[in-house]
Amino acid sequence: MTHRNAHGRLARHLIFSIFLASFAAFGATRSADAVEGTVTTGNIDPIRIAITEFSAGGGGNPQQAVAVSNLIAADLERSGLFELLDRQSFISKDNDVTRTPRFSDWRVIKSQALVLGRLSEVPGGKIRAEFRLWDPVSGKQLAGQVFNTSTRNWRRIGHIIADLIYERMTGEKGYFDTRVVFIDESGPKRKRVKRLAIMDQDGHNLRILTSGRSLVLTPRFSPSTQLVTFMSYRGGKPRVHLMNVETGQQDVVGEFPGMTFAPRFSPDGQRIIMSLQSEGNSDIYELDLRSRQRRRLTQTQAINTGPSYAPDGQQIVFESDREGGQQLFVMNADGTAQRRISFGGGRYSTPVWSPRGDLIAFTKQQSGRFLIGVMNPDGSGERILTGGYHNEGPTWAPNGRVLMFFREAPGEKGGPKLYSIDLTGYNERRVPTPTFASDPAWSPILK
Amino acid sequence: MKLGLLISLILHGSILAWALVSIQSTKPTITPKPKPIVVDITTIDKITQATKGATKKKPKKKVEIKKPPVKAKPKPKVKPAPVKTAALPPPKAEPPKPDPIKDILKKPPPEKKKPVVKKPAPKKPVVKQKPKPKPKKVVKKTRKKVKAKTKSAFDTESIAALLNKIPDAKAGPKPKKVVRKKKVAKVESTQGAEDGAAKKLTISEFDFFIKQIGNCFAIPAGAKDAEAFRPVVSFSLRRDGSVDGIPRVANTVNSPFFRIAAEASIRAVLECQPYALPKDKYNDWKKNKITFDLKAMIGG
Repeated sequence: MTHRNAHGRLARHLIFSIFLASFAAFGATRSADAVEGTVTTGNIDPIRIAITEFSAGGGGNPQQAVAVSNLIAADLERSGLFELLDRQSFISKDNDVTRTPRFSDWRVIKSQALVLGRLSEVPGGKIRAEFRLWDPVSGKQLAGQVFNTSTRNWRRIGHIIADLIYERMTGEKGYFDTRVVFIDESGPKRKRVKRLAIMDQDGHNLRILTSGRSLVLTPRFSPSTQLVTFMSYRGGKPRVHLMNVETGQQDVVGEFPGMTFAPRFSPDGQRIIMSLQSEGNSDIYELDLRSRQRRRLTQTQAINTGPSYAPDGQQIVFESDREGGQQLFVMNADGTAQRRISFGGGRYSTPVWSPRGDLIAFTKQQSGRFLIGVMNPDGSGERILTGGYHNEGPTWAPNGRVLMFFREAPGEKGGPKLYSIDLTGYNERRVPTPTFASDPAWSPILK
Repeated sequence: MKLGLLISLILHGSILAWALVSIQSTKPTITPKPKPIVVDITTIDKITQATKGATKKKPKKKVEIKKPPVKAKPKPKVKPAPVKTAALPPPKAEPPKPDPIKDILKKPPPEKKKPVVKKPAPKKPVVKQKPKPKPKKVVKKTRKKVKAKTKSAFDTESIAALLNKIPDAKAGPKPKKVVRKKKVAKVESTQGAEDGAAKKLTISEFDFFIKQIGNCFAIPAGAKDAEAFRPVVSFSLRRDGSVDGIPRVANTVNSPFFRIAAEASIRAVLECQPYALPKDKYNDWKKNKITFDLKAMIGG
């Protein structure tokens, strides 16, 4: 009898356990205090944000005030994470930054964030910009800042405010107050003039930095300063340059006997890593900017090039054809433990380590197409973000969420243009440039 | 010949004798007695309803939950931009130091100034005070009832132990030990309504409620870096399904992203109201404690 009872009990427990499993699948438990549950789903819809036209305070320029709010709106919309609410739909026309908004008016139009601001003139040719970010749902002020700056900095003010809003709403660092250096290309295809140029990440404030008399290639920003390194060829001699983009001051790091490719800064900005060619091979070297001493990191009968440091400076990703076609390899910063990480079909090139360290972006050539993709540092999780006739040269935004690259159109009249794409692969945007543009390099956040 | 015949007879006789004995002994193994399996037929309600038994531990839990105040106060950001001068505090119209959220959120209730709003307010203190004088007795009574019933009832914590012991289930005394454990666990884990009535919100109703909230939760883009963050939001609902008062974040993590995730959670709870829930089971969903599992959301 006891045996039978034990079986019966066991069977009952098993039945109950099945019920429990089905109940637990809903993630719900209860106590006398409160019903407890776990939300395991959410949505990834863009945040609905209302950005009112900034008002003009004492002596402020109304047009400039509106332009600042429009710039903020454009930055946030371009990120793909925000959906701008049409100003025509605003119930409240009150854009006074000093008053608490009537939140019910904003909740009616399903606004999840509200931005109010004001631009005033300050003696001495300066402007004073202030803004507040509100959460109409909870009725809470999420951010509020005042800035005093020179009038000519009004665009930067807009970008800085957009960065603050972006960070406050998403938890990610913003990337709007940044610049991009690239190769400005003009003239016919067979006789292109290539000049180093710089502009804001949204395509404004374009400046040409070199004359175009010598060929310039592969500009790369220092991760921590406003220094740029790039290659120039004059009279067949390759030189590695350093340039301060604020002052325009240039310095030649060195002339090297063979061809030199793809110089790139170390995360601390104290070293440059690049590849030098000799006797048909190409190997990776590290150059200390202070001592100008160089150290060889690869020694194989192959072309090793395109090196890029991990943000912690401990590892380097590069491309090599040592095992046949071009593939991606990772090694320790001292050249040890070299290992292949790309195993998909096709050829991989131009690897760039994300500033967050979690991904490596690359160009992949497969079936006659050039693809831009990302993979984990161990080679797993490869994802293609975009493809086309000729896409190349990905560069990361400082927050590691957006990539910029160039896409070349076929034909005699075709040329390269800049595009940006986020990690979802769905938000691809053309970055406006007045002429053809290639080889972009994203700056760190401006200071 | 005679000797040969004798030997043959002895051998045949012994074989026959062996065959008779061996056939007899195999019979009981060939036809074992059927062992009946006792099965209880249960309805889902028995599982989804919390059983009786408000215990002493409940008030303790209440205190623990209510102690941590909402720490969602916005800290002024310090960005080292050369152009920035100062953080902009909330407008003067609001009281300066008390949390601006509370003040602003207190505004919606006045819009709904109805006698209904006043009713739930006094209820709260009654609920708090009750456990002190009388419920103790009630608790004892219910405890006894639970103990009496739990011998054959279900216990969550004992399942693992029970399953582990399946191979050894032949032994009789082991299940008894499990039952003893059950008694303790039962009282702690399954607490029903204080009035002793079982709850009746079903799985599908509760799941629908959770899904409503999930539909309104916008996963912050920075979630990739914060998989382990699980903001827990406590809130009360009015009978019409609207949120009563301010949802509170019951836990805290020293991280800017947690703050954003917690705000998104509160926003989801507020945005989704009013909730479509069965009014006759109001006591079931009057108070809620919802965890937002970001790791599960982003496929971690």
